[in-house]
Formats: sequence, C-alpha cells, structure tokens
Amino acid sequence: MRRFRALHNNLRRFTQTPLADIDGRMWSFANPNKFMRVSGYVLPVTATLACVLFTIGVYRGLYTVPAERVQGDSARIIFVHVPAAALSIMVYGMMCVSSLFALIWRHPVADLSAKAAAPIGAAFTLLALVTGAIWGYPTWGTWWVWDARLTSELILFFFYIGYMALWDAFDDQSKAAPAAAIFCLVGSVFAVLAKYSVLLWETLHQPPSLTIGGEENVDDVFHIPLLMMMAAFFLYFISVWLVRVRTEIRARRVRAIKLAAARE
Amino acid sequence: MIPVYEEQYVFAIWACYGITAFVLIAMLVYSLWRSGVTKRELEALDGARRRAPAEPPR
Repeated sequence: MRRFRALHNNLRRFTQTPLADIDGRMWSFANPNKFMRVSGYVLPVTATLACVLFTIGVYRGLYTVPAERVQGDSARIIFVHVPAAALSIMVYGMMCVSSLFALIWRHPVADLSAKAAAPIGAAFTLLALVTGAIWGYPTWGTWWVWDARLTSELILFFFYIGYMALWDAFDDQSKAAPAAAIFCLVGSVFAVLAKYSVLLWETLHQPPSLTIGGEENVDDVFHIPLLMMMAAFFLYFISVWLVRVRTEIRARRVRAIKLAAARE
Repeated sequence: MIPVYEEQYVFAIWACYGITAFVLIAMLVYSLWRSGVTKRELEALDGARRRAPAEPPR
C-alpha cells in the first residue's frame, strides 16, 4: 500500500509539474502592468526587424529574383500573397487559443489579445483575397472561382468582420468578450478548412508552397526571399498586435475610471 | 531604377505590392493614432483623479 501511494505521488508530481509550469507562465502575463512593461521592451525589436526584413524581402522580390519558368514575372506576387494568406490563418488560430484562455481560465489579457488581433487578421485575409484575385487573372484567366480554398478564405474573412462587429455590438465589454470568444471558436472550422482544403479536395488552387518537414515545391532562389517575407509579415503582426493590446489595456482602464467617476 | 517586367504582368505586380503596402501602412498608422489618443485620454483622466481633493474621512 505504501509503495502504491509513493508511486501514485510520483506519478502525480510528474504529470503536474509541466502543467503547473505552463500555468505559472500563462498567469505571469495576466498582470496588465507586467504585460505593458515586457511589451515595451519587445516592441522596438520586432518593429525594427520587420522593417529590415521587409526592405530586403521586397527588394529581392521585385529586383533580384528572376522570372519563373512557367508563370513568368507574375510569380513575384507570391512574396506578398503567400505570407498574407498564411498569416490570415495563423492569426485566426492565435485568436482561437486566446479565446479558449479567456473562456476557460478567465485570463484578463486573453480576450484583449484576440480583440486586438482581429483587425490585423482581417487585413491579411483581405490582402490574400485581393492579391490572389489579381494573380489569378493572368494565371488562371479568371479573377475568382468558387474553389474550396478561395471560398473558405472568403468565409474566414466574414468571420473576422463578424467577430469585430460582435465586440462593437455590446456596450458592456464584459458581456461582449464571451460571446465573441464563442463566435471565434465556431469560425475555427473555416480556418482549418482554409488551411487543408487544397490537400482534401482537387482544387484549382495549387498545393501549399511552403510545408514544414514536407516536400519543397519552391526553388531556393524563391524560397529564401519568401521565408524573409513570411518573417517580415509575422514580425509586423507581432508589432502591431502589441501596440493594439497595449491600447486595449489602456482603453479598459479609461472605461473603469469613467465608470467609477459616474458611480460617485 | 524601376525594374522592367513582362508587359502582361506589370499591372498585377505593382497592384499587389501597392495594395499590400497601403493596407499594412494604413493599419500601422491607425493603430498608432488610436494608441496615442487612448494614452492621452488615460493620462488626462489619471491627472484629473490625482488633482481631485481627497474625500473627507468618514
């Protein structure tokens, strides 16, 4: 019995330590003051790196990369289209994780994090749709087809718009947060569909250009500037997202002060 | 120096890069502007709260 209890205690310690560690790290950023302090240091670094990578990536995309063998010069559009499309899905995924944290653990910064990310994600989705249409016309001969990838990306854009509209529809932000979080989680289906539609169905849209650990579809001459632009878009997102979360934290304080003044 | 591309793709390339630059810069400028407005509003409210006379002891 004693041995069983020791084994049970060891097992419990083993399973609880990593979770407690994750939990501790998660809650260390629940303090808005700490978030403001840390983000104040991170923001200039990410913004500078984004500027440098954008400059090099755009220069290489427009000037030094040669015309592609089949698609010609139109292949230069991948350097803005692919990062925008990838980030549109990734930002939605990040919003879903934040929404889960807000719903389950009531993390005080998580709902603001998802709210701050939504307009940036919507901008990336719009860019992916518009640049895709402009690329599609000379490549496919049409601006738009009701293809699985394109349609799921369009629905994802509507989910972004709906999510932002839902936040604005409530006067009481504490009531808007859970409704918006549930709405965001419902839309995750379309983010997953947008990601895997080209693998699940035969579509006009080509398979993914970049895969982690998979077969490479892009030659190195395109691959390296494309990775640079992906990193630039990602760092741009982090920078603008940090600015927006900091704004949301301040806006919440403003609302709290006004509410307290109204009660006095 | 402006690069020279195949004629049928010139519009598509410049339109894509132009629209992307416009949207990203507009989002950045709007976020910074809103951040500035909120920061000033919070500072004004905080300042007014600090200047307000202390409540008499009950």
